[in-house]
Amino acid sequence: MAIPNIKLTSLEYDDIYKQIVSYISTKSEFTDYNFEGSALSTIVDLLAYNTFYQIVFQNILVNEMFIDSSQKLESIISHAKLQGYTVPSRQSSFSTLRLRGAGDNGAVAPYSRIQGSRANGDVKLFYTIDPAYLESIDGVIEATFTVYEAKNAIIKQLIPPNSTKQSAFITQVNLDIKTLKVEVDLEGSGVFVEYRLATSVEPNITTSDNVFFLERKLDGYDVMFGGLTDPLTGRIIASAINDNTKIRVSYLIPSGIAGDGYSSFSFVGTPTAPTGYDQISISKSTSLVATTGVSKNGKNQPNLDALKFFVPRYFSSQDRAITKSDMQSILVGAGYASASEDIVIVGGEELSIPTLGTVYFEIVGVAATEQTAISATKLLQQKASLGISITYGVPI
Amino acid sequence: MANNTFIDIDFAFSANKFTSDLNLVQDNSAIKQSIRNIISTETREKSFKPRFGSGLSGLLFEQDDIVLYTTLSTIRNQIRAYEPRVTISKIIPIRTNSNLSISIEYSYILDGKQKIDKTKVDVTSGSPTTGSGSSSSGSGY
Repeated sequence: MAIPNIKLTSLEYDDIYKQIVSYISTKSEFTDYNFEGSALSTIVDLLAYNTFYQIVFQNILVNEMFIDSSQKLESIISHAKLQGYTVPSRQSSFSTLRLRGAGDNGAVAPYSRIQGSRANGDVKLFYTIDPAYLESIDGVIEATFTVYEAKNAIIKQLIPPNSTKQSAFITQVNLDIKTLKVEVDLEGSGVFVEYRLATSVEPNITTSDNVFFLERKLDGYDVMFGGLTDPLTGRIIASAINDNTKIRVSYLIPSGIAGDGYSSFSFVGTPTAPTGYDQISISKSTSLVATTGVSKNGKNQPNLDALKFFVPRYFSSQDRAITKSDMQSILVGAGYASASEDIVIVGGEELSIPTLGTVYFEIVGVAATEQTAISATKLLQQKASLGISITYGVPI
Repeated sequence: MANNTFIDIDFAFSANKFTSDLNLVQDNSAIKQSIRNIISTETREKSFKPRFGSGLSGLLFEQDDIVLYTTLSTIRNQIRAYEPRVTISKIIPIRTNSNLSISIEYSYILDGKQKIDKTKVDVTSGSPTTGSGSSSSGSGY
């Protein structure tokens, strides 16, 4: 009897078992392979189990090698790194607030605490990230700013630099990278300068530019500086840190989706003012209104399918807003929307009366007057081609 | 199963003293070994075959006869399902002082002739040991 071929593509335990039995049946030494209680059957079981285990293991291994078939977040983080995409972790729920009746001038400092409440009595803390300034808009003194939910706010935490690797490690994987601020005191003189996040090796960055890069690791984030020499060109891409450098970081650790649904906001005490500005005054006439409704867009983990969709598109757009999908991936990547379906983009030439050179876009549920709409418009305008005007709100 | 020879590996994996080959068990010894293996395997112990096994260890310290006879029924069904070479004639629980063992009487056909044998599994020891011999007490099930 011919020895049957072994089918390497078989992934089912029963199929593997049958193949081994089929092989043994060609041998005359043993006859009891067909009886479950026999010792031979136990050995066949063992062989089949081991084969099955190896096949499953190798199947997982091969799947994780490609972004399309990856099932583990760690693998997608690694694939995304090759495309210049930093996978975010937990994301804060946020809301845009409008402050009125807090005096004629003054400002609110970053990391001011605001208490958000739900109708059922639940309370969470929200924080400002940027300073908010009172200003006159249509004769009304007001300030509009975005607050982010966080169960913990890390403010100006010193982290040790590694000058050899030109990096510093943040041992917190659950931080919201939207809220991350990095300040560097290059020579340890006590003067800290805020660095900006760079997403790629931009050609116009020089060694005097204060930028950092961010790399996600399994247990935290690597803040990378530009002091490494590019092996290809031999140039140092941005300002380098040294052994005397002090690095401090500020960020929020959000509750994720649990921060959604808060609508009633009030300051916890009177917020401090940024240097050079007056403190605002809190009184009975002070109103703090959520212009965007309840807090939203909190996330516990990024959606793996969304990452598989956006990472290659982010790479193909090269961080430029040229096509509709470029703009969608930039806005989703920056956290303005959770899915591309939430963003409507219309080219001016598509309108019944064509308006060439203008792109209209809208994020579902976000009004044009909101801070989110304003900053999203600014972001797209920065990345759009020269001569293209970005306008929020799609004409009917 | 007429005119068949049953050949299995010795579960003790002992080597032949002269040839150093793995010892084999044949015919009635192979059948007996198979029955003992079915009885001594716990349910869900065998990979991907969760129904295989009799759950005999559940009888340890068990004094309720209903549980005992339910397990004996399970043993009968297991042997019927997984050892088609034999026909069970009796399964007898034997209580001796504080010990419990189970005697199984069965018949099988080899070389066209019906043969009768029995095997005994000791429950109390935890891992069932076996031996053959006549039953001394208890009612057949």
